[in-house]
Amino acid sequence: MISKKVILTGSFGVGKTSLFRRFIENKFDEKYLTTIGVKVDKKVVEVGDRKLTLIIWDIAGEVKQDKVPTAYFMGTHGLVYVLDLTRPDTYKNIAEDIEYLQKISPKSTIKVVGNKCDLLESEEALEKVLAEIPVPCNFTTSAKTGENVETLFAELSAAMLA
Amino acid sequence: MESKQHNEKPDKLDPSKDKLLEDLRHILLEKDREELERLKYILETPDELEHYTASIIDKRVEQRVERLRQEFRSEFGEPVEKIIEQKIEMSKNELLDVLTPVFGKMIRKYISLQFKLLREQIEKQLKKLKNTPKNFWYWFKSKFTGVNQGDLILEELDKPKIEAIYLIQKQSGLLLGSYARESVADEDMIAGMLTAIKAFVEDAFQKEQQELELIEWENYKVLIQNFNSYYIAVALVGNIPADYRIDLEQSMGAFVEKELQDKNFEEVDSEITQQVSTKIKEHFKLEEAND
Ligand SMILES: Nc1nc2c(ncn2[C@@H]2O[C@H](COP(=O)(O)OP(=O)(O)OP(=O)(O)O)[C@@H](O)[C@H]2O)c(=O)[nH]1
Ligand SMILES: [Mg+2]
Repeated sequence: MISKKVILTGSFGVGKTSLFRRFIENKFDEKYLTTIGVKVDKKVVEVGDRKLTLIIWDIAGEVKQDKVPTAYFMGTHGLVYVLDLTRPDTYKNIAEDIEYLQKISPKSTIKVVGNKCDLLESEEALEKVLAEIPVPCNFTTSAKTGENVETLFAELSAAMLA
Repeated sequence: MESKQHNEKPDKLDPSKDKLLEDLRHILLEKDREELERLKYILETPDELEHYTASIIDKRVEQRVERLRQEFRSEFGEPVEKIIEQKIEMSKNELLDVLTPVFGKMIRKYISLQFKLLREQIEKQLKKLKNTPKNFWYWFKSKFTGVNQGDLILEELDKPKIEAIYLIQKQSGLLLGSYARESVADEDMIAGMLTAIKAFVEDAFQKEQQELELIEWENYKVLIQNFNSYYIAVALVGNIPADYRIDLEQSMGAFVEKELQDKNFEEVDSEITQQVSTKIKEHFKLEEAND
């Protein structure tokens, strides 16, 4: 069984810790407790008939990615960039952030995730927001309802093994 | 009498004359009076007064603040920053009260800006330096050793004891092999957290060439020996005499040379991890004379 490092990044309050908790413990909390430093946890996933240990780093959110210590991204296999679909501030820097992340971590698989989709009332509202985001969202998720959270990590795992 | 009479004359005439004059004044000075009333009202009504003067005062304050800002640094920058540093414990208002009589109201703005910047910087540093290791160690201490306080005090008197050894891939923080004296919290997680702390401290101190070699927390010490693509972390309790540390570091070097030369850790695999773990146990057990 092989191990891969995955890092969750993005602006503060977008729901990185919540996605992490939903995925690892299948729990959700409405309370906001901002992450200080880094929390590392792991989960074993199955990709086809292979098993894979995901070592997931949940880091403190920063408005811009160049504020995060570069070393965190070193040796990373998977990068999840989380934004909050209800807060334009959390995706206004996304194009340069993604470019920066690709530069410092060229080997990693990057997935862009629009979280808190449960807060958008309709499909049209979601479409409207998605159109405003400067880069395509690979997934729209909700840590609250669990929507697409498993899919996100399953597809990320598959991509890292490919 | 005459004079009296003469005097009486105007008196008699006065009312109508005065009235006339009064009316005339009214007519002629109506505009001015209105203007005067308005000015009086403005002067006596703080909100109004502010409304009319704010832009002028603001502009002047702005100009003076700008000038002060330019000259301030060279003139007073150093002493003020010193005072700010000394008084950093005090609340913002208290600090401003100390400084205001000296420098006047107009530089309040400048000081509060400087104060804010300084505080932000200090808070950032504190957040960086304090919280991460503390949180981690709190967790580390409770989950990792399972040693109670009494035992720790006894161990203080004893020789150093190796609690755990981790071989960790440098950048990814993935665990390549480990040994633990007692069953511990998840070792993959410890490896990740240690790597995060290491990266953090190295980043915070901007010493790219210099790598973290020792983490201390109460009775715990984690010695770190860096190699090219991985590092070894040894967690110990008790005091570590210098010669013990030198021996341990030599032993780590020997381990890498003897056991890891042929290892390729490109892909971290549980099979490799198990092999390395066994080797760590064999190699370092010899070093644990006190166990
Ligand atoms: N409705 C809704 N709320 C969410 C969702 N995900 C997170 N939240 C809420 O958003 C807030 C912030 O969530 P966190 O997971 O702590 O955010 P974070 O990105 O880890 O924040 P930092 O650690 O400060 O960077 C919390 O109050 C969560 O309950 C979601 O999918 N839907
Ligand atoms: Mg968080």
